[in-house]
Amino acid sequence: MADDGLLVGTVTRPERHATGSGHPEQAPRIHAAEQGIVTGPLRDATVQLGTRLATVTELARVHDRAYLDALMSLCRSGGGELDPDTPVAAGSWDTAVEAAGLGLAAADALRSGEGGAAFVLPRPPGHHATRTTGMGFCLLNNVAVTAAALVAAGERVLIVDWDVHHGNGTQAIFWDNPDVLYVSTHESPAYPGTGRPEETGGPNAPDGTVNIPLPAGATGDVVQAALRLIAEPVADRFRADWVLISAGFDAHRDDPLADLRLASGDYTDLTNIVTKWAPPGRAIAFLEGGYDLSALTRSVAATASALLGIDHRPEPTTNGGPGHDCIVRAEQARARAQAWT
Amino acid sequence: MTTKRILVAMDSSDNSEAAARWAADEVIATGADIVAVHALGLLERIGSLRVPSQHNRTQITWTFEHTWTAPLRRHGTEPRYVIRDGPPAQVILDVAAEVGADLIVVGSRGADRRAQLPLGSTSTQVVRHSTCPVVVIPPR
Repeated sequence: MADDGLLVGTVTRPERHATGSGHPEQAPRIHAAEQGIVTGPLRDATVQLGTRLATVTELARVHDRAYLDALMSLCRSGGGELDPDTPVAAGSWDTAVEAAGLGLAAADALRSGEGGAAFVLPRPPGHHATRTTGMGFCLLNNVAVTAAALVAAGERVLIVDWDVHHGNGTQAIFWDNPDVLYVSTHESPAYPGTGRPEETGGPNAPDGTVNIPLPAGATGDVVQAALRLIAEPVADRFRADWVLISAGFDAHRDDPLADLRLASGDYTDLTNIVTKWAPPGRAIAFLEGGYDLSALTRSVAATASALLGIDHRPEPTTNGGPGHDCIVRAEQARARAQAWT
Repeated sequence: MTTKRILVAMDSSDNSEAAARWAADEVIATGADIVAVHALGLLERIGSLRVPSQHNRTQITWTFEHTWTAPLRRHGTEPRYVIRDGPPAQVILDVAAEVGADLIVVGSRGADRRAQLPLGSTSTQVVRHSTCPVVVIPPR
């Protein structure tokens, strides 16, 4: 296997997790994301990862056994829903377990010296899933499963979540874990209603969470500024061994579920920023949201290319949107919250 | 115990309407004031459609305040309206604590009647974690 190519992981049969007609989280998203990788400048620089199912032991590092048992049982009985957003089908457990294993396979391969970076395309997405339940289209927290495995191996993990929705599940799972730094930029107000700048971490990890909520209309320059001004100093102090990206692309201006105004070229810049927060060969991107298929293809293409240091921008970057004042307020709120810890 | 503030959880379901009618009758019986809450998920059911919440906040808010909560106003009561992003059970519990609810009223089934995770239906979670009494109204 090439030692500098992009490792790519996908679920083999994403349609088994049937969400029903009209639901925006559909199996064609995975095909659209794959197109972004195989049709762009990376077409000859990718290597497909093998399938590796997450074990119950690996899942239980981040999810309660009672939840895992109940989810499996619900699937075996034909499915249902976890909440009005989150349907579960008979095939969802098998799909979700395969999805949760993608990052583990990527980490194993990168640790063995294979590939230069990895991009995995799990379905269903994961960052809203908490220890005790799935929600917000998510069943198992894919990025958290990989992060927890790396922490168990003695590594320090930085998770950057640029999905337009706050990753409440990931934040909660690692809230008090000093070996994981969680950074999130997200639209606010928006689902799930969490992610205030004052949420900076538990007593054992008081600097372990960085939340930068942004207003509707925020553009790529605002997200860049948020990462550079607020997150980067914390990342520099943290000294991560790995950076895992919860790479949702629903902050794209064409996305039907939210109101940020990024374009695919912005994801090139964001990838360039965050991959410098860990050593080379230690970056894995995890698909989260992103519901306009065309925007998803373009955004994945830009991100995947940037993971290998290739500047590919299907659309120019964006700037001029609101939110710079929110960055200032977020930094002030963080400072006040930490002054009390 | 004197009930002074009732929190009723609302969505587009018939079950929610039944809960609202029960809560309205309780207001008449107790003189309590009433707070109606709706949790905004990623998607919202409007009629037979499932639409993204974020792009339809204005419509959802109007429908919540004018249509779903109409049964609360039939005795001349004017509720306070709270609409908030988040999973339904968490929103209900958070708002109940914030407003100092003495009683929570919730339907046993929401807008989607498919089988729910045994541990995690909204009404089950609210009953399990509430610090005040909860009345669960079955579908009519």
